[in-house]
Amino acid sequence: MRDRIEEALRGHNADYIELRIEEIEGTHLSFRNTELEDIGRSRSLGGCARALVKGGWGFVSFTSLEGLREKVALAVSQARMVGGKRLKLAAGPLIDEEVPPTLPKDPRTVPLAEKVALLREYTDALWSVPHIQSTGLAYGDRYRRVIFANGEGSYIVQARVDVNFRPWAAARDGGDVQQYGVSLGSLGDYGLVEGKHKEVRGVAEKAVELLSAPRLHGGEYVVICDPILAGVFAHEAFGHLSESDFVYENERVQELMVLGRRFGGPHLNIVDGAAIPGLRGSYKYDDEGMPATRTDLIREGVLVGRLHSRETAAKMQEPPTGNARAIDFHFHPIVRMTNTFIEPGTASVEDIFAEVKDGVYAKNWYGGMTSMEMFTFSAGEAYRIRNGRVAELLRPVVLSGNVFTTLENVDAVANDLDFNQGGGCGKGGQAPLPVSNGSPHIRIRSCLVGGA
Amino acid sequence: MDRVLAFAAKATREAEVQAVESRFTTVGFETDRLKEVQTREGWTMGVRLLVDGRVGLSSTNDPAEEEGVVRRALELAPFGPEVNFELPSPQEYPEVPTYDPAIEGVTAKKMVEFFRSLLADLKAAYRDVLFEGGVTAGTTLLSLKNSRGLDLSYRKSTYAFWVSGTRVQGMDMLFVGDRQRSTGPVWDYTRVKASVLRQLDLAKNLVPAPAGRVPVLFTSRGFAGTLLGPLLAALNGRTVVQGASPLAGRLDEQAFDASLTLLDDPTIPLKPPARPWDEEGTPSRPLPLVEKGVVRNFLYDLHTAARAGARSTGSASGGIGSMPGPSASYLQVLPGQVPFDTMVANVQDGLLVEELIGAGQGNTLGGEIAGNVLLGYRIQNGSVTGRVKDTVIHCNLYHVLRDIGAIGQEAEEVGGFLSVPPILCLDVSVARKE
Repeated sequence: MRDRIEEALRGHNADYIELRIEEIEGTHLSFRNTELEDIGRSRSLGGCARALVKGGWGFVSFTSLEGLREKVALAVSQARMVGGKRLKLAAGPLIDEEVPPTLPKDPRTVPLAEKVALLREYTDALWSVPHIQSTGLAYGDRYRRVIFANGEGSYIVQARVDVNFRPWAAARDGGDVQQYGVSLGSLGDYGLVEGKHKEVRGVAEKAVELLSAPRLHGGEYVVICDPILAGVFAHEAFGHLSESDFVYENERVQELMVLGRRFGGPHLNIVDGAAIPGLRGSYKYDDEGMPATRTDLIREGVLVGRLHSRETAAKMQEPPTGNARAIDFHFHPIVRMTNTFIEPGTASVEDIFAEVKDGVYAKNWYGGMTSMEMFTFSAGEAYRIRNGRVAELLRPVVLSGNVFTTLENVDAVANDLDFNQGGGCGKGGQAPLPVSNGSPHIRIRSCLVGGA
Repeated sequence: MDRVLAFAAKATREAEVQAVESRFTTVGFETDRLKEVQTREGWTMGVRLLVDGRVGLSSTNDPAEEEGVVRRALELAPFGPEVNFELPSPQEYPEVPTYDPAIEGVTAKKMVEFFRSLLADLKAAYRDVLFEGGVTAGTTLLSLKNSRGLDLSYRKSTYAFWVSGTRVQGMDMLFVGDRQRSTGPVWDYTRVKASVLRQLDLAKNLVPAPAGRVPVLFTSRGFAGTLLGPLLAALNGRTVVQGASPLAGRLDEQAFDASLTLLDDPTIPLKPPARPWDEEGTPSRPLPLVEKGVVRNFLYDLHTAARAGARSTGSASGGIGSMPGPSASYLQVLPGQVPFDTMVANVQDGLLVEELIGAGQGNTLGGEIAGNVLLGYRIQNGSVTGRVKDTVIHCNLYHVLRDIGAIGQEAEEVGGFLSVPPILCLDVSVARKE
């Protein structure tokens, strides 16, 4: 294969060319109520060629590995059609390496019968709770092996296994239905799914508990977010603004996202990095063959960095960060996050609650969207805070606001950093990309909270 | 595919194999400039076997893996979902044109010229807005065979273009856009251009949103993006047999306002979702879902129909390598009597909503719709006075569609698979950040 790939890349008249050949194998398994609803195993093999000529890109994806050289040539001729100003990508090191997968417990070695039996136990755990109306469990594992080679001579083989597990339950009382669910994930560790009987039962119990919870009257509140919700906020609300493909050709956004600009207090530090090992967004090389890094985005409240591909780094004359990722061979790499988190502060969790006379404690994440400056997140679980203590459970709430104002309004960051590995990120039609988000508890001094 | 059926025949009498082959060319624009030209070609095959009342599924894109894909499906079958249906035998299918040969004349060069022209028109009106978008064209060949002698295939063509504009002023960001989809090439962008310019024109000044319970007028795109999704989920046979649909058990009941009629029709010639048969080989037919507010049908595939004691409505889709499920094809909400301008003129104080974010969150099956207004405008004394921001709206689908303010006269095609008029919903809760 290596000979064929290197031969296919030789002698094209382009500023840059690369080939990715991928092998993907996945198993998915889902229960709906007490029945197994879907089970399948898929295998795909394919690749893509990408070429850069005078700043224009050509891209060809394919499922037949015949005629690789012609595919590269087609990408080159398409790139030439685009035309424009010559662009030199940010320099990348020449790498020749095979990176073995991180596999604490390889899900592919677990017999299917065992997986099905475990999910049946979890289904029983969900249904052991009275007043449950419907439940679901979704499990998936996905092996992806990528051979990356470019015209500069890099040849990298990387494999990874992604595991995810999502239990949910809905409880009903007359016409009133309440739902609760959690989303878990890991890099190559089936252990994530094992021994979760108590947590899974807890999902059903929470759904039932929500039935008798009061609705919050919508308005502005002091909000404390748990690590899961705060991590999603760091990713969705701030992280996407740090992706340089949104910034590099838009002067107005460059003014807005100028390095050195203050976004929050000195206690606010936000980081992204695939080089942090063992998390769902971790890797050694990105899909352009660039080494992973750890990038400070906000340091002591001030914008200090952003995420780059080789192209955006070159255009903005900033160091490359190894953040170009593709979900699979059907797509070209684009600037993406990896493991994004708010760094822990010094306050204890008790301290940041203590000063809140009346507020909302929002936990877990149910869904969310941003449009860069605006965000809307559904918290899976919310409580009223009264006189510094967590009081009654509320119906799920929706947090909404302007990203910049909300970052400024983060007035306390606790010291209990925790990572949520259940996330899947979507951008440019590429979803779900394995990522992780993290944060300690954070306090927002004022945030629009809607009852749902 | 025949070899797959031959391998499967050793183990079961009920086997189905499906293949999809496609080739698409796309031109992509970023920040007002052509950025890339892409070609995507692919082939995938999915196998579904029924063994002792259970289903095994698998897929591959390696044509040489005919035996492997059957072996994997057989391994899974003992664990698979229990089903109680038979695969269909050959029968009569409607004549549904799905392929426009004009697609063959579409070149990357033509697509680039077309988009550049649209871009030039938009830039002429709004220099300070940066645009991105693209044009794509391609063909797909779908084939389906089963062990009962079914041997079907059709070719379909697809063409689409989309444009979105971003304007950043200080910390204020505005996003506008539209898209159009068809089976044959379209070299006329009048509708998309007018829609984008209208969004930009209306957004020129910012005004505070109203607060409290007010009427909300959803544009066609707004209606499609907020209310239709949860409504379709409730009409989906899968949700119905699971007992999770609020409409379950309410066939022939007046669940909605008499002005609401909803029809799914996969047989309209040359619409992007048009098809003579669904993914299981059930013939396509027009299906009234809601007639004058009365629930008439749910969408079923073979599996959900068998569970509901009903017949498949020919609505199976999405199942290469996994269980198909019922879904709508070309959905039409029939237009009403009121011109759009009159609808606006009749609102004293309310909102015109083009796009929400976060509308799909929360308890949508229960009909709860809550979201942040991404693009919306205030209507005061019968005219649009400006764009609103930092505004959250909340309503219940079953409540607002029970007593509809008005349905517009002008149905618009959204995304190539929906034909939807604007709708005026009364009594929607609106909250704004001060």
